[in-house]
Amino acid sequence: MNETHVVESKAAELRRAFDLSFALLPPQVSQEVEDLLTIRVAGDPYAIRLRDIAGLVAGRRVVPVPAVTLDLLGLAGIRGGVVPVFSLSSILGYAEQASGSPRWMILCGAEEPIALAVSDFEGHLRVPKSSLHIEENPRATRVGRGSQYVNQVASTDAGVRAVISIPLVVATIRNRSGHRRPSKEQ
Amino acid sequence: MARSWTFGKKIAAGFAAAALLSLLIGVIGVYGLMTVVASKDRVLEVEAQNLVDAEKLHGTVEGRSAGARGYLLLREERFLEQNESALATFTATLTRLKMRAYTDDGKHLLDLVERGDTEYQAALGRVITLRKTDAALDAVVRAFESDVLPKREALDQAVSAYAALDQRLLDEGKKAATDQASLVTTVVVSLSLAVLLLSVGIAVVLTRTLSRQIGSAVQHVQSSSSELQASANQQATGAKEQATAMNEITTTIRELLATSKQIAEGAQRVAHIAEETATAARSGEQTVSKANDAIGGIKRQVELIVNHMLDLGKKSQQIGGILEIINELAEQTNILAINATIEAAGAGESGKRFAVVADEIRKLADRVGGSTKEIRGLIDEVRAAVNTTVMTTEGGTKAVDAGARQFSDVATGFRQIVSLVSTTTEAAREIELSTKQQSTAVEQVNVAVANVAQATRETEASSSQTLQTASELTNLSGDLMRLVQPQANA
Repeated sequence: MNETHVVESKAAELRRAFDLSFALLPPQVSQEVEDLLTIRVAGDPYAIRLRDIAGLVAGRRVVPVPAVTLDLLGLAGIRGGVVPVFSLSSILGYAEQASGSPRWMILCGAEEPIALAVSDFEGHLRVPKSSLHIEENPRATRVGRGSQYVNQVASTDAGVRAVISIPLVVATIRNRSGHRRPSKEQ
Repeated sequence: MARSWTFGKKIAAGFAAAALLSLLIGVIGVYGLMTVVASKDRVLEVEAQNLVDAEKLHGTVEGRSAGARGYLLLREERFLEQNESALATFTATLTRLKMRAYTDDGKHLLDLVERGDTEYQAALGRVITLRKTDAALDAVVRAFESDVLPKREALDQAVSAYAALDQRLLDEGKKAATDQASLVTTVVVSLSLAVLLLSVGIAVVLTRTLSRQIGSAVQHVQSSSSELQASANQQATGAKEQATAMNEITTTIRELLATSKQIAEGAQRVAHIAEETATAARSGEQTVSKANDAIGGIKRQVELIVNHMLDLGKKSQQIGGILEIINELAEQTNILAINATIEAAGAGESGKRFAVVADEIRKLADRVGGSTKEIRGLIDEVRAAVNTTVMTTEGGTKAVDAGARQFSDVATGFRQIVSLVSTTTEAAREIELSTKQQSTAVEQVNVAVANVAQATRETEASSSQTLQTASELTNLSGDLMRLVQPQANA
């Protein structure tokens, strides 16, 4: 009976919140906030700026292709195009896990999109910009590996979470691919 | 053989021998006395009478002679009558003598007397005849002297010879009677001496034999009396101990009787309780049977619950599936909202309102996702509870089965209890009856033991009396021993 009440109250709360969202005035989006996606790489908490990515997809099938780097997991069909999928944990320096293909993919770049595969996606987090700090010495925060891709940390109620700079990651990938990609003439 | 004779036989034999010898002596004495008396009687009746009759013959001869002389002298008839009377007497006497004569000499002498008498009477008749003839007296005297006197002297001699023979026979008879009496006296004296010696010998033999045997017997009696005294002592001690034991036995039997009564009462109570137990067991059996039926109902209800729980599990699993869809939808909604937010950010100012909506949708999706997680948790809890309930219910079913079996066993146990209690009741009644019989028997035993105790006391008294008697017997045997064999105790 208690569980039934809990479910019913939960449903009523959802219904009320949903109805309330249409009943109240739309809130003004403050310019002093930052939208973050919270993820976990090999169990370490990280965050990604929402404005750095082009989209988020889940459950796409990755087709492995021969590659010279271990970061490239394969190719996936996303939004009508073939997008290379890279392992974010591998890029950050974590050992590759043998638990199958990551379910989440973070779509980056508009013209030549690439996808960063993430195994654990926690959710959306909106924090004030004041809670973001530029990390001069990311190693000192001990927020995980890949400190070269972390330029900020976000202080949340759940603790300090490193903010991965997607442009740095993408630039790194493009640099690696640009140096090693064979020319079309070749 | 004589050794095996009893004292009475031996003494009787001794007295019988003495009596036989005395009887022999008496017989011999009586025979001798009778012989002597007969001899004397014969002497007195025969020989003396013959001698008297012989003297009477002398007298009658003298009388005849005197009558003949008187007639010759006086010629008177009365003298002839005297002569004839004397002759008749003489003849009668001679006739008696001849009748009693038993010897040849006597008979011969009597024949000589008769012959002489005949001759004398013939001579005398002739003289008398001569006198009657008026013959001269002188002739008559001469005839008388010449013819009668010799005849008379011959007759006198014959009568004297017969008298002498009778006198001799009388003397011989007297002497024979005297000798007979002497012989009888000698025999009687000899036999008396022999009887005396024999009696003394028998007395000595009997005395020695009886003394030896009586002494031995007395010694045996003495030792036996000593043993009897010891036995009487032991018997008296044993009787005292037995009396004490009998008292203890009586006390024990009384306790046993009380215990038997208690056992009988206990058995009666046991029988009563067993009957109540049987009733309770029957009631319990009925109750168990009802409980078994109720357990059957419970088992069916539990099976229904299990089925319902399994259905509930399936339903919750279906809910889980639906929830997965909802969760997936929420996730997709979240992704869409996030992507909408990204797109709205790229749309500039016009995208801000869309960004708001997208944010709301994302929040809603987040809440839906959180709610689905909670609901999943609840469903997992429900499924776990269902599984737990099913397992518990299955355990309950097994427990119910086990309970049913146990109830069946309990029912069987109750039936066995009823049967056993029935047996117990019968046994308790038998115990009660047996104990009552035992009590009766114990009472009888008590009475018997009381009698035995009384007999034991009497035995004790008798043992004391026996002891006293044995002591007296010992003293008496000692006295008897001193009487029989003085030298033995001297």
